[in-house]
Amino acid sequence: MTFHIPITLLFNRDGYRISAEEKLPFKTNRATLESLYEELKINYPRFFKMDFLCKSVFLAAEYMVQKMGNLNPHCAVVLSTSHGSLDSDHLFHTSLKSIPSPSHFVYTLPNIMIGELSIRHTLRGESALFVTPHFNPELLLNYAQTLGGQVLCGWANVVEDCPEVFLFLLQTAAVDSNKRSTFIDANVNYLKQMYNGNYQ
Amino acid sequence: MNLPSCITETCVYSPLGAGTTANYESVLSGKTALQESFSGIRNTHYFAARIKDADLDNWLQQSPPPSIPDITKFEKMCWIGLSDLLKSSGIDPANSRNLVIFSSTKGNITQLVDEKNRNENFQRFNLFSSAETITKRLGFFHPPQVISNACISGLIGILVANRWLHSGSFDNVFLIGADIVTDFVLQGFQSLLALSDHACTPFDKNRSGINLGEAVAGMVIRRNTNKGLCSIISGNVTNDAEHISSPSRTSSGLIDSIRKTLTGNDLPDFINAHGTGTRYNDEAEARAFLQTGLSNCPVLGLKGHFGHTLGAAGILETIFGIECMRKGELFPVAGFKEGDEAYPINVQKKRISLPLQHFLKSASGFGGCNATALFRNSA
Repeated sequence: MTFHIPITLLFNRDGYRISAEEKLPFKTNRATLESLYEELKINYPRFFKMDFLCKSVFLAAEYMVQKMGNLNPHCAVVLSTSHGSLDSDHLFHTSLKSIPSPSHFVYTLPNIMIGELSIRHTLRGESALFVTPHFNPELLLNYAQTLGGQVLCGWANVVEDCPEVFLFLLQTAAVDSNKRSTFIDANVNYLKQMYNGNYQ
Repeated sequence: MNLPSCITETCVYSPLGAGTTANYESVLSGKTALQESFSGIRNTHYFAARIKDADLDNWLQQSPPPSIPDITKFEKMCWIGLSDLLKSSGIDPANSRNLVIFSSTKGNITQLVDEKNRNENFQRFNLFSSAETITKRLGFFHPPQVISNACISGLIGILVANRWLHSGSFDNVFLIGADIVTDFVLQGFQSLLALSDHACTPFDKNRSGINLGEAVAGMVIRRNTNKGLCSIISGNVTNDAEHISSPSRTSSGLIDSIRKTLTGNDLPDFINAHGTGTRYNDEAEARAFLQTGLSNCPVLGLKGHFGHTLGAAGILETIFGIECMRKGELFPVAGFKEGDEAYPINVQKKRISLPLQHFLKSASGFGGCNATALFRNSA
């Protein structure tokens, strides 16, 4: 299992943009998210239809792809979240007081963010969406290891106006079963450090 | 050489009854759980399959007392299902080689969108908290895993379980799928014009949409054994990468998934399809079956009996596939009269008896996801 660089923590839990190469003192929130779209010079009108969660994870993936090239079409996607689609759930629920909004309803499932990434990057392979209370690299790495090949993994969560997205791309490799847990543990520790902003 | 994983115990609780056998017999006798309801929802009438509170409380009395404050309907259903599996399997919940997986699309959505006490409600009622409360109180060692992948949640739960077992991470997986009928989801599908105003008719040429249903369906899956009900032979998940709320117009992802699942020598004797009763889903499935050489393979569908039970559907329908194999019989698709001329698949119209060794389960959902799996009769 090897990591492709950059691992992208595009928005930390306070909404600050951080990646392996740069630490920008620029706090992103719901209102300023679209300025990053401009900054990354993307032309993808579909972005403006997306909900806040999908926009956040979309931009993180764009950032990653701009740094390291396109994803392999067989790349699997394994994402996790605690709040899932709650932001769109509230928007749809609010719309019920007047006219129920189909455009909010279609975003009331957390795996829609995998759908948006799949459309953008033509990913047709395996995927899964786990609901976990916190970023859980053990679960993501172990599950990715059962899939094999290239896997885009991450944590994507929006709470009120703050996005938090941590994506990493890994290339799984066959590991002797007796060495597997040591191997996973080492990678888990590395990911936890990255997630907490301790870049080497 | 390891043996595949084996499904050893199952349970279904639905408006049609308590337990796999009761549900199977109800379906065989042609019963449907779908009932017409009138509601304040835009003054429309719709069909849905709801579990009565009295039935739920009765089933709950036969389980260990949950003692969960403010227990919700969703949590009661999960508690009943998981308690049933613990009893039937005889597995000690405290065994550290157990994993519990929950599959649900919306869990306690009604409590989560309540505008009062938003933060407190989130802490108490979010999908992971609910699942963890239940597994802790039933004495499980590990925290549960929660999967939320739209309408493939149940089937992906089986595939995820199979992968954990195959990798040796766990010995036993308890898989529970549940969803309830809420105004939130009803109005959502209504806003997409996807709700049928009569009982749904999967694969019928005059089909006009889905009905929602409530159920909890569960199974115990064990590692490296062939002693049980049926083995999981193969399966995978794909994405259409085309659209987030409608299936591919070429069925590309579903075709990929079926082809990958059927790479071995074993072919299905029947398909237990997703068959939601919407124009596009059923057409996409039929197209995929035709293009993968399955045009003669009998197709079953259960949504005319249970409605679309969302996170439970893939598990419930797999359990019915297992029962069909074990009994050696197929039964007609409720509501089906005549298929699409352009997609001549073999939708089951009669009850027949015949030996059955393998079946294919398919599912597709929002987000462009598709899943299929092939199962083999252990008998």
